[in-house]
Order: sequence, then structure tokens, then C-alpha cells
Amino acid sequence: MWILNFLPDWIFHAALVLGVLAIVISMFLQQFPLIKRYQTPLWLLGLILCIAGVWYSGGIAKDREYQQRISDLQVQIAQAEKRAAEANARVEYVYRDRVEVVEKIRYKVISAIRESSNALDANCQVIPEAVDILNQSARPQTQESQ
Amino acid sequence: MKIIPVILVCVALAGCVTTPVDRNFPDVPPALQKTCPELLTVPQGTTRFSDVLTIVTENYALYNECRALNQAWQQWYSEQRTIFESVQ
Repeated sequence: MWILNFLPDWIFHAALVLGVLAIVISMFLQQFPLIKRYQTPLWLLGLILCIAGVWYSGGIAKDREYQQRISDLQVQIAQAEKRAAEANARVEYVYRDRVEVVEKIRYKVISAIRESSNALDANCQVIPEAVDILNQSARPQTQESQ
Repeated sequence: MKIIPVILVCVALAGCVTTPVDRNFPDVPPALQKTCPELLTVPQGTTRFSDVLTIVTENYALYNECRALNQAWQQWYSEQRTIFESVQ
């Protein structure tokens, strides 16, 4: 309720109290001939103030409920963002660790190939057709390459 | 008379409330945003078996790195989604 942003809460509670008082007082005005004519307007005014007071009192309570809900959500979101950042760091660390392991194995195997290259090449000659066949599977796979 | 519709609109809008809580799904870490590279090909005219074996080993390493990236992506999305949905 936008009007709650401009007026303090006590005004609406006071309006409700004044409305009740106006209605009660209007019931006794009939006994005073001089001011009897103000009975109906006072009663109407009291009714309007009561309705407005109840309406906005309910609005104040609902607004407080929403504000509490917003605060709770913001706390949850802050905690979730913290956990998300921790998860990010953890996933990145595991990924880099795995890549490091792959690199170590790659280096180890290639070193072994180089050490044994003479023995490997002594009895095995690769023909061009073998290179073409192997490269077919290594190239990017598209409809045209089939 | 013109004031009546204005009053009615004000009364109608009196119950409107917005809940200003902004949430965004987290961004992917830069390390996981890279694409898998293309596989290496054996140069034409290669006759040494050790050279072919080296290229094959390099390609196995590229695949394993790409596999690690894929696993990291799946793990990242799974964890982040669980965290995102835990806020009710």
C-alpha cells in the first residue's frame, strides 16, 4: 500500500479508535437536543474512520509480513550465494586437478614413446593410407566429411 | 465527479504490493567456458610409427581434458541448481 509509505502507522490505528469513539458518542447525541442534528454525520464519519482504520491496519500487518518475508528471503539468498561461490571454487579446483593429472600422464607417455622410438620404428613402417584413414576420424565431423 | 474515478483507482491500487527480491542464476566460471579443441592430425608423409603414436597420445589427452571439462560442467550445473532451488 503506497499510502503507508507517506503516513506513520499510528495515524491509522488512531483513525480506528476515533471511528469507534465517534460511533459510540453519536449514540448518545440524541439526548442533547442542541447537537442532536450531528448524530448521523458523526455516525457516518465514525463508520468511515472505522472502515479506513481496519483496512489500513490490515494493510500494515500484511506489509510487515511481507517485509519479514523479504528479509528472510534476502538472508537465504545471501547464504545461497555464498554456497554457490564455494561450489564454484570447488568445481574449478577439481577440474584443474583432473587436467593436471591428464597432462602428467600425457608427458609420461610421450617421454616413454621418445625413449622407445628406435625400437618402435625398427619393425614398423607406416604407409600413407594408414595416415589418411587415421586422420579421417580426427578431423571435425560434419555431414560433408561422411 | 472527475475525482470519483481517481479515488476508486487509488483505492483499487491500495492493495498492490511488490516483493523486491532479485535473484539470478550464477554465471559459469571462466575456466569452464572454453570449448574443446580440435583433434590433431598426423602430418602427411609420416612414416615413423612413434610419430603416429605421439599424435594418438596427444589426441587421447585432448579427449580426457574435454571429458574433465564436461564432467566439471555437469557437476557445476547440478550443484548450482540444487543451491538455487533451495531458496524458497
